[in-house]
Amino acid sequence: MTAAYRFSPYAVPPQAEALRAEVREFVQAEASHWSGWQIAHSWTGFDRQLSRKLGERGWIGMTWPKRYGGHERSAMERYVVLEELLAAGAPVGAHWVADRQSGPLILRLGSEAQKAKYLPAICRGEAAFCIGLSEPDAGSDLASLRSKAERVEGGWRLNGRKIWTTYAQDCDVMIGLFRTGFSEAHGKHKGLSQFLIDLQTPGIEINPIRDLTGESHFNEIVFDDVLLGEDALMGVENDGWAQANAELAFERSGPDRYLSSFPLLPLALAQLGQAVDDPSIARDIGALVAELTVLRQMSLSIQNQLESGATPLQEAAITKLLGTGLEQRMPGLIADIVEAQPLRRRGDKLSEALAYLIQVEPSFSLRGGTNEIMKMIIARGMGL
Amino acid sequence: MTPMTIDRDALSDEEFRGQLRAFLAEYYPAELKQDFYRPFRRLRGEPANQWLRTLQQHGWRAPAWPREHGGMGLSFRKQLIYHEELEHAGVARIIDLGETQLGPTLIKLGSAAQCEHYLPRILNCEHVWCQGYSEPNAGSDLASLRTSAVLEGDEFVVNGQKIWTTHANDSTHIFTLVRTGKYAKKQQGISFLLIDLNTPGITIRPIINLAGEDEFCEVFFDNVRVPRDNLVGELDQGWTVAKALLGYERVWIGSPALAGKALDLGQHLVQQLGLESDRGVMDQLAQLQADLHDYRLLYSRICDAIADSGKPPGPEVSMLKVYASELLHRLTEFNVSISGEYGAVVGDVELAGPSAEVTATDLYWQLMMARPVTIFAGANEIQRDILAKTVLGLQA
Amino acid sequence: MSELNIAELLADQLEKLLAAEVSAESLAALENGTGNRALWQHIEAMGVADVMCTGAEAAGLGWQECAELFRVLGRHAAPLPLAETLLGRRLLSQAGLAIPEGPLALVDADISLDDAGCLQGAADMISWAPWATAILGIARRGAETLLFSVAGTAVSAAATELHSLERAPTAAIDFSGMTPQAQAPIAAEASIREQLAVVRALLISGACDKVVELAVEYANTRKQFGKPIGKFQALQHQLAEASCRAAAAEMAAKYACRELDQKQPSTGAAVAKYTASVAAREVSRIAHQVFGAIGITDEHELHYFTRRLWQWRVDAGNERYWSGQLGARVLAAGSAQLWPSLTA
Repeated sequence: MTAAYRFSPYAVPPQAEALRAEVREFVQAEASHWSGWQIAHSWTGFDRQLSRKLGERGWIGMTWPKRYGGHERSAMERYVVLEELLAAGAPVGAHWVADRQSGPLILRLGSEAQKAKYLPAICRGEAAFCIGLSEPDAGSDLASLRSKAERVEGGWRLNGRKIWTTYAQDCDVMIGLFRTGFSEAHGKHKGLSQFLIDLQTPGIEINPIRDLTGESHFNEIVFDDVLLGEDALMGVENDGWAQANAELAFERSGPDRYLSSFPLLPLALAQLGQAVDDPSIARDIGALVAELTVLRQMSLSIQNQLESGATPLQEAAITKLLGTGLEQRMPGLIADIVEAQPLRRRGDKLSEALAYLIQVEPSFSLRGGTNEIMKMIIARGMGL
Repeated sequence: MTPMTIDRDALSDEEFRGQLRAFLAEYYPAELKQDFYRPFRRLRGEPANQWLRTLQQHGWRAPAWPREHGGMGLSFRKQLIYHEELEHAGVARIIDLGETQLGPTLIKLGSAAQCEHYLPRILNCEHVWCQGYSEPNAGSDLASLRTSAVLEGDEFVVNGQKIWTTHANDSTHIFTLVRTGKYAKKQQGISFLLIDLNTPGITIRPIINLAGEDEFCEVFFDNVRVPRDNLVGELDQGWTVAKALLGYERVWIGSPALAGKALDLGQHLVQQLGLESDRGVMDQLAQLQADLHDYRLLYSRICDAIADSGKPPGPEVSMLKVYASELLHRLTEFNVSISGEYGAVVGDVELAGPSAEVTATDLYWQLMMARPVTIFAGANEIQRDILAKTVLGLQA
Repeated sequence: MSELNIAELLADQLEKLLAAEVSAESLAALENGTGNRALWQHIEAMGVADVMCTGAEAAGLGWQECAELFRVLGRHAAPLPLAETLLGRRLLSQAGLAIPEGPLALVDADISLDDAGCLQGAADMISWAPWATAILGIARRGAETLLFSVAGTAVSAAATELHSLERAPTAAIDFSGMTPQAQAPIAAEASIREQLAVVRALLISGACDKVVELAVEYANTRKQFGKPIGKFQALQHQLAEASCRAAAAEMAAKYACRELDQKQPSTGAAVAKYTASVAAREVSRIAHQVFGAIGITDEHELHYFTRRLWQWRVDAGNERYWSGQLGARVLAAGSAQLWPSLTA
């Protein structure tokens, strides 16, 4: 038996590296007015203005065809842009989901009209997307979701509830998964379809859910006889589960799966200074840097496999499990070694960032598939 | 049966502690003490029996047994002091299942004749007992055991195999769980049977462990004839008999003594290696110290509750087994990790440090010895299942 | 590309040879000192021990190309000093020294060469030293870095045989006062300790794969409560964790190989050995929990791998040592250098 995964070192090609300095310079200029609280949000920080600026520079939809507003650059160039933005804690949330998941999905499965309508707007940083998957009774077990879409004259009628949808109140469009067929006839995973839903459509009610930090990123969205046109169906009817799943290797292995807490580390190093003679601090920092190095290599290796057309689901699950583990450990560990109180004290970036991350890190192993689900996928891949 | 005449339970805690301490100082052989070389030192075979007989002669044997059966009749509080003092004096551990397991079972569920016959022989070490429960296909799933005992007249005829029998090769007798009947529920039809290891048809094969020691054995039964009188409790009701004991076993395994030894060694290593100024090491050490302290309190609280209620230990003692075994893992792991390459040497090591002397031995051996603790007597996975279902009330 | 094929071919050949020749019995014989050296002769004849040598007529394979060779050795519990000899011959060739026949052993301790031309210093633990025809180390003389070698026969008086967890022939040697058999300045890509750390990380990664494989096989066959224990989620989760650790060790070790091939000062060795040592610790812990009692018996093959994992975890610096080294470098470089160095 050979291992169920494959990881080999992969270096960012020089052509992609060439872009790094430019992005870094841009980020440094922008970063001066981001608070610690803000950068700790990483890719859940929502700033339409920044997204528009990035759109102007051609850093959204980088790999997409030019005819849809894309820039036909390599995946590795995109990777460099993403990791530079994330490392600095740039608030990229207003275009993140569209750039990472929704855009590629539309590009792959959307109709010509759907592509023309949405992709250029995404590339300009003007179309914010959210994903409507979870429901009150369908969390990790997504296939048991119940919100339904029925065929009606000229289109579809949606009823049901979605929950935990990030930034729905600020977004323009949702790609939602709805039941269109009977589960008995199609099996639990069949009979689901994806829809492109303009969130301004009548019948949609968005109720923010206040989270433990006092903010309201999450929402509950109620669909009450929402009428959509024929063109709202995304891809193939009843095939939505497979469509949504195919994206998971992308979603689980990107730099966003191990860099969420990263902005803390340079702040902590700055506070500690260069003359630290406490070996235990050195060990803690060394362990974090070693793990970051390995995770970056794993993430790059997966990126390379995706490029060559493979679907490294096993590798992605391993990387996500290890990556979110590191993201979660980092805030507590850093709080232990630096002299900073986790406070929302204006101006003290380290304190602010700690205050936010200590509260939200438990969610890192929930989003994008829980640790338990990742372990199940890995165990299955091992032949258990 | 000779009842114990001395009543040490009547002493004040302090008097009791003082007397025991004086006795140990006078009688326990210095060369057999646990120390930094052998923090987990165990005695078996003749040296163990000799020491147990010394305890017996001076009225310090079987602290938990009632005095009418020759034990000390100590309250749980005094039993704790008893174990603390033994630990404090560096008395090596002895796996004496006759005293810790069989005796209490017979006292509770055995016949008067069984008590009369076996208990004094346990106390004077004429009989040394081992436990025959696990089988090759019945480990964590103990109730699937298959070793059979068929009644023929006044005798059971036993056939089958036991495995992981600790120190069977040093023992004279084995208490077993055997299948005597077939029922829909596999826990039924099991009987608790006492077997003399000298009976024809028994073969004992030691199993060498990864540290090179013959700690475990396989025991084979080939048409072994056992008197019907050796049945403890009712026929087919052995599971209940054994279960009454499993709780005691978990309390016994849950003792914080070993962890205490490992922590002492850890503190010593920290000094020897000059790591007192290393904040990370000291943090870890302090954490382990605090955890051990908490655990000692938890242990004595649960023991007190058992003593006060007079009832056998409840399912919550699974907590003790999980906590103690994992704490021991953490401590031995700490000792290895701070010791660098010394951790991989088998044998005595001289630690380079402020005072260069031989201070420890076989750090990894200790880690290995700590390892199976999370497996035997019900793997920790099984204990957590018990806790989740019985104590927390989570549904399967 | 052709070089890569040579390396793949050799790894494949080595895999076949070791699969046929190495078993619990032969490992037991090696460990109790009754093993013979026929397998080593076979390896010598294959020419595999020379492939990392550099120079005009040498194969000159790099670290990345040889990564799989080392991993194959780890998978088979490294029953030979081949890893040490591969690296040792490379060092000798880099220093332009003659390469003796037979296995080599490596010293990763700090040794110096005094003005009288005598070595000063001792090494606590040198694997395979009792087998080696020559023992190599790096000695400092002022600002100079010299590769030195002493003949295996010359050190016996200063050697103390050690019983290690690996149970391979191992010794502590005090070199003080010895005159090297040969010495020459060397410009190696990294210190012996760093290179040995990468070698150990590769061996750990190979052995972790093997241990995970054994554990999965066992979990799928061993039945309790009427089903294979691998069906229990508690075990699946532990094995998934083991698989993650093994994957991280492999990635880290291969990353370090690439860094060594680029011949720039790098944190590769620290990253690799830290990650691999953690993996050695965790994978062996989990495997023993999965195997239960049978796993701690002498007759089961598991311990041949887990004892080596424990040994290799501490060899050439354990996870504490390397995280400390790496952290000290990161701290000294300062905050502004962190991200640039991670993406360098």
